[in-house]
Amino acid sequence: MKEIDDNEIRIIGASDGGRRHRWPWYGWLAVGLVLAALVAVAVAVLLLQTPREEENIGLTPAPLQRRGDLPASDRVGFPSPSERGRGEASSLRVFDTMINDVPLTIYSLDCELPACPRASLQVGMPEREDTSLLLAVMAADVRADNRGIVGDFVVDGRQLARGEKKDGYCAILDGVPVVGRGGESDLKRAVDGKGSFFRQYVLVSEGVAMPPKPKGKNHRRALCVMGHRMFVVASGDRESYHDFATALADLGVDDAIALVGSESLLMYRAEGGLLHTIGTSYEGDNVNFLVWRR
Amino acid sequence: MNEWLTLSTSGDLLRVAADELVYAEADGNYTTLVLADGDRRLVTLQLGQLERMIAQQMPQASQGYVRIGKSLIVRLESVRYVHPGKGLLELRNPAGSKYELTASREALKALKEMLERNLK
Repeated sequence: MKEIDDNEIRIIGASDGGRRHRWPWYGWLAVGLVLAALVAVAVAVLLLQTPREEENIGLTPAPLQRRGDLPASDRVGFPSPSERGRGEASSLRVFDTMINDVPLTIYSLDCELPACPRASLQVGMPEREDTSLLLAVMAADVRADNRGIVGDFVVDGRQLARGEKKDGYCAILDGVPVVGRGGESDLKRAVDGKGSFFRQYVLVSEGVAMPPKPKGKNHRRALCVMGHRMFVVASGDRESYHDFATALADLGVDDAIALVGSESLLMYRAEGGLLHTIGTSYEGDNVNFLVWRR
Repeated sequence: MNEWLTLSTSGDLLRVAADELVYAEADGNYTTLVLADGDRRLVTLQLGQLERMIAQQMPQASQGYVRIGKSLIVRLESVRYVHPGKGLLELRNPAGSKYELTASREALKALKEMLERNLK
């Protein structure tokens, strides 16, 4: 099906496309002016073979705009505030999209950082009766053998685990989460400022996919930042880290770290206050959650 | 027999009868469907994708819909008023609700001419 421009109409499904197009008179005028301008520029270039530097300023191409420089709303097409997703109206929006044949579900807080609901990190299951809960996802991995938390892990200033093997991190200070790589200074801030911190694999850094080494496919989740928006993305199918990270980068995400994937528990408060739970409740020591509350 | 438009994602499914869709409006990578009962549904489809699905799933009824520029698909029976000079397109659904939409003057001129030709 051919592209259509704003001055055209067509009957859907008509064999000839039912295409109706009217080229406006000012269109021809514009073409004439552009051609005249091109001829004038060509003559000027020929006559001035060594133009002064300042004369070149107007011909210097503007720097290409990175996808990451665009506002988040222009990149991922978040529903407008007037549209409801599956989540709690005016607090959380849940919607599906497809990038590179990777089905994704996006759990997006309807806010722009830092003016968002407070985030916190906690060990142990969130209370299902907690009506202030908007979104809860499992954060840091827990080892299957000794139930130890993998990587640096800080809750309210108390460091409960250490380790830097995973380069990505999320730090929470005053209820505002940040995502990045490295994070030594933010780890110290979290400890000193009674904040929270956990480590995970980096998936996207500064708009570039950086899939971690582990192979295999599984259901993936990620904590993503795009402009001033933070949201959780879950893959609809089992995906490799490579495909998942590439899809996030193509979505336009600036930075993303992995969250606990597979069938791990995710809870969100739906419209009308109903709590939705997705995945399995992994009861046990050190199960931990990143939680947003109203 | 009534034709149906079925939009299915990994999480849900939406069915719309051919005579239920009043218009569809693009919103970036998403499209809002406005139905005859006033219901509005946001779907994760670009308008071009929706246009293809209408043509495939409702081959007969699709001829009752017109794509207007990059942003609109409109049911022709819903068109109540066209004013190319103001870029105004007014639709009515069977329940009597009025929808005022905007489109390019050139596109609305073409729509007006097409509707006039259908009179002859």
